[in-house]
Amino acid sequence: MRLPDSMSQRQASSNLKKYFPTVLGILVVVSMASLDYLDWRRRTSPGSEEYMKFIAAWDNEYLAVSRGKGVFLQFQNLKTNAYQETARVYFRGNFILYPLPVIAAPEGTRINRYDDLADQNMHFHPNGQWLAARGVGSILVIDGSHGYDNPVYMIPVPTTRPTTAVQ
Amino acid sequence: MWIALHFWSALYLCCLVLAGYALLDWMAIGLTRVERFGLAIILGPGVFGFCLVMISMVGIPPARGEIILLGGVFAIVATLARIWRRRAEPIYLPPEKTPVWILLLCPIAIGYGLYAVGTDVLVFPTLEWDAFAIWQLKAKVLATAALYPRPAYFFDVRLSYSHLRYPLLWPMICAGIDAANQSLREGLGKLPAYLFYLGTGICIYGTVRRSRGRTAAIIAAGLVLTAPVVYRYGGSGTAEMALTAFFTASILCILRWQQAQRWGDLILCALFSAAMAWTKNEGQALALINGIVILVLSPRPLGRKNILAVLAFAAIVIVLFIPWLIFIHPLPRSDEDYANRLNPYEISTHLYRLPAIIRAMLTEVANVKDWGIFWILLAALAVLARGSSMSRTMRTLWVLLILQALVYIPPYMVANWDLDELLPATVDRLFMHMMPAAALLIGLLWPRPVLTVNAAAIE
Repeated sequence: MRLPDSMSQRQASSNLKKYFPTVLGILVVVSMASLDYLDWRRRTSPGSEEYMKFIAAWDNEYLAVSRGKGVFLQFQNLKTNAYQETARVYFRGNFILYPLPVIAAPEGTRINRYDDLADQNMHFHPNGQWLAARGVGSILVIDGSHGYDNPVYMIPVPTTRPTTAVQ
Repeated sequence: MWIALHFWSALYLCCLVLAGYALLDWMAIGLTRVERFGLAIILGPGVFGFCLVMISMVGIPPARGEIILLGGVFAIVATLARIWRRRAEPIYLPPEKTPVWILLLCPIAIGYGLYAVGTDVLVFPTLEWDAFAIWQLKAKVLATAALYPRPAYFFDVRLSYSHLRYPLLWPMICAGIDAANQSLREGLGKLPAYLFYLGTGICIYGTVRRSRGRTAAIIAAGLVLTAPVVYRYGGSGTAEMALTAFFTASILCILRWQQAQRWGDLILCALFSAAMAWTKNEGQALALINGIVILVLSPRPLGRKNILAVLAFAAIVIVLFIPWLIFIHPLPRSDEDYANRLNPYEISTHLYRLPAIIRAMLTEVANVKDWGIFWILLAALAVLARGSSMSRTMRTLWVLLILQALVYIPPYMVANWDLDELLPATVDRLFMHMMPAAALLIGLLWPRPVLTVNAAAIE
């Protein structure tokens, strides 16, 4: 009675050994294909497109405002939950306009993360001479109270008289 | 305009590959064509980028003429290597019957990866946060000014978020594209990452193919080239792909050193390790791990040749790394400053963070969205192979993997970031650096098809 059982077990074990690499291979190929599909969906998702539009809009804004000179960023009415976006705007500006300066704080201010930036910037209102001396040609005002869809407006910097234009 | 742009970019990439072949042909013998190509496209950008950094450090910023001149020098070196170097017999690997469906389906899956990473490096702008805030910003700095005298950027703490003291090899490789084109072109600097993406897959394929056959090699390489994390960072412009590629190539050289103790393999391993140290701070720890593995896991570890090898390895890495230490000496320590924080006092006072770090790492292993079945497959294959004797190669790969996982824990413990913020943003990248050893293990643990074994026995 036990012999056939043992034989069938051996047979099953042999079959398992024989087909195991194939089964494992199929599993891996299915996994790879699924990951490719998920990546394709991620790339074509509305969120991904929105992010690209956000970045492109900021790049264009910086290039339009700069006109060959540096830019001073002035943040207004920031809410704490907008700090991260604030940092993204500052980091992006420095990247896009380099070697032109994008300034948001006085020299010596350490900006490591978004709260450093927001804290420093909201209490800093330099005058036109200060900005002109640093190669800044425009002020880009970013008003957090309207969200980030269209929050930007530009103030030309007067270089002859001090200003507290950013209100 | 478009043609000129791509002509100069393509010429720069050719120079990078040529530099890789030039050095490889002097140092390595007994490589298959595939291994040679994989190593060359990883070594080339490292060597060429290092040359550009050194030239920049004496006051000459990267420029088109400089790139053409360097390319010419490497062409001469490659030609001399072809003429004078005794060429070993070409390596022929035994033929193997690979299932047709593997040969059809895996390349399709990998083909999507080539397309996805290819469009990231060539078509899209720099979108990833770290890529534009840190790496590609540095590339612009390096493309516009020499490193001597040090540009004002490195002292402007308002740009401290871009980590002023981070290593510069990857940004310099990217800056070469701008220099070749004589203009700052947004997005194009990521192009050399494609060489690293290809090189990583090819090196893994070559290593596994040699010892475990074609099917296992395709599977191992495919798992790496189609991992979502690699899609995320492979062509994004960050330094992750470069570090992963250098580490992959260094592992290949360690395994070759263990097999034949050829000095060329050891020197190559040291070059790749130095490149790792020049790419990211994590790379410095990985270079140290490579040294430890060579010291402990080579045949006859305390033999005269091995001790000399370890000393030579350390000397090459240190000598190549010293210029960087000199360069960063006066720079402000304004970012995370891990180097100063990694001390026993800081680590012991942050021990309470350990459970959260381990939990995050274990969660990442099972994170199918980031890795598919990559880590689960490795664990399953390891369980299935338990009890069977372990070769030196397998031991080496396990030790590399475990040391790597361990070495990433202390920086998390002392980081001045909230772990809830830091871990989700970075743990996937650290696992990406651990990928090469794991992928090689998957390939080597992959079950041999029964039919192939029989066929081999008949032959």
